[in-house]
Amino acid sequence: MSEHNESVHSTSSPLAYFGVYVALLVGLGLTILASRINLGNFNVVVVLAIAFVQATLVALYSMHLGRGSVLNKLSVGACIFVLLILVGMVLLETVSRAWGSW
Amino acid sequence: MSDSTAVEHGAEAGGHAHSEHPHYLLHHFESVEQQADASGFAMWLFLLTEVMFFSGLFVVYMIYRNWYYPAFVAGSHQLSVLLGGVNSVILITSSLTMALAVWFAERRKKNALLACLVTTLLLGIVFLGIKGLEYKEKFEKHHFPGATFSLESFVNPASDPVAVAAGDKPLPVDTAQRTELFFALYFAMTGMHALHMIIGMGLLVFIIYRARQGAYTTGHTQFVEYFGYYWHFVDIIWIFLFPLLYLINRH
Repeated sequence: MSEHNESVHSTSSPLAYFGVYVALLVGLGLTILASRINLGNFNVVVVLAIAFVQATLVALYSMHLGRGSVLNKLSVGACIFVLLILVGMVLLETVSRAWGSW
Repeated sequence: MSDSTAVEHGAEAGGHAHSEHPHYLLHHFESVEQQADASGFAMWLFLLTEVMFFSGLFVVYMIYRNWYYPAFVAGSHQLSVLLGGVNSVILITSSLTMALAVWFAERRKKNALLACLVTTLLLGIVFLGIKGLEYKEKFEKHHFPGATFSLESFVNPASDPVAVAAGDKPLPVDTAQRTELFFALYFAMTGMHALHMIIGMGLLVFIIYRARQGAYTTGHTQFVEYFGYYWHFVDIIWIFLFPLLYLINRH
């Protein structure tokens, strides 16, 4: 992003953006398709798995995380890790204290 | 993030040892690279707090969905997959035009940058317009939580063409009452998402104004780039909201 050096552009190429765009649209189509099929409890697992793949593509390419600094990647990883602990503890709490009482 | 203030600070800093500063380098940074790293990291930290914030809502959703699943199914069937899907396409497209805007800014193509930014803004307006139509329909059917909330579509689905089309069976009153919880979460989550879009569109108007003055086509594109991260983040939230709210038990 320096004024003098064209090679330090941090953005991905437009090709990558169009690739992500197509992947997101395909993911959207797959999500709607998957919701039409009866997979029992796995419906939500499938649509969430697709959503996570879509989100990862956006973060890596559109938000340049793939080319970003190690610090940024580590921060995102740490955030997800802490998030899993927090969500896990809330779920443990609800499952262990209130199971069957709703 | 640094934008217009960079000019004044750059002028102050002009006096000291590093004489070849670009004007947008703030005086407390050693180099353009350091400034870019620091502000990029700050932007990511901000977005991670946003991830934590939205995750709270998603956890509440997850628990109540498990507890009151039949009510969540009936509530979800009231939402239009068509409108939600169209809005998904609109938001994904606006994310593409935003990414291209940053690309054009770095290549100093002012007109292409402006075209992309304006397209992004227009797509945002269309998204909120469709969202508004959906909200309006919910208010008219008294599906907005509160004193006037109506259970009619859930205890007597035959009275509601949308419920008939989804093949809903009548729910007992106590189960039907839990649909209010679904709609509370629906309005809280999509409303918070819409609020983020409104804030983003306000920033976009400012960015378009500055881009017209040529602020981002002289080599300093960080403000546009980091705003783009925010816009993509809002897109990611919608990618999760759409299947979770609109697509419960649709087979």
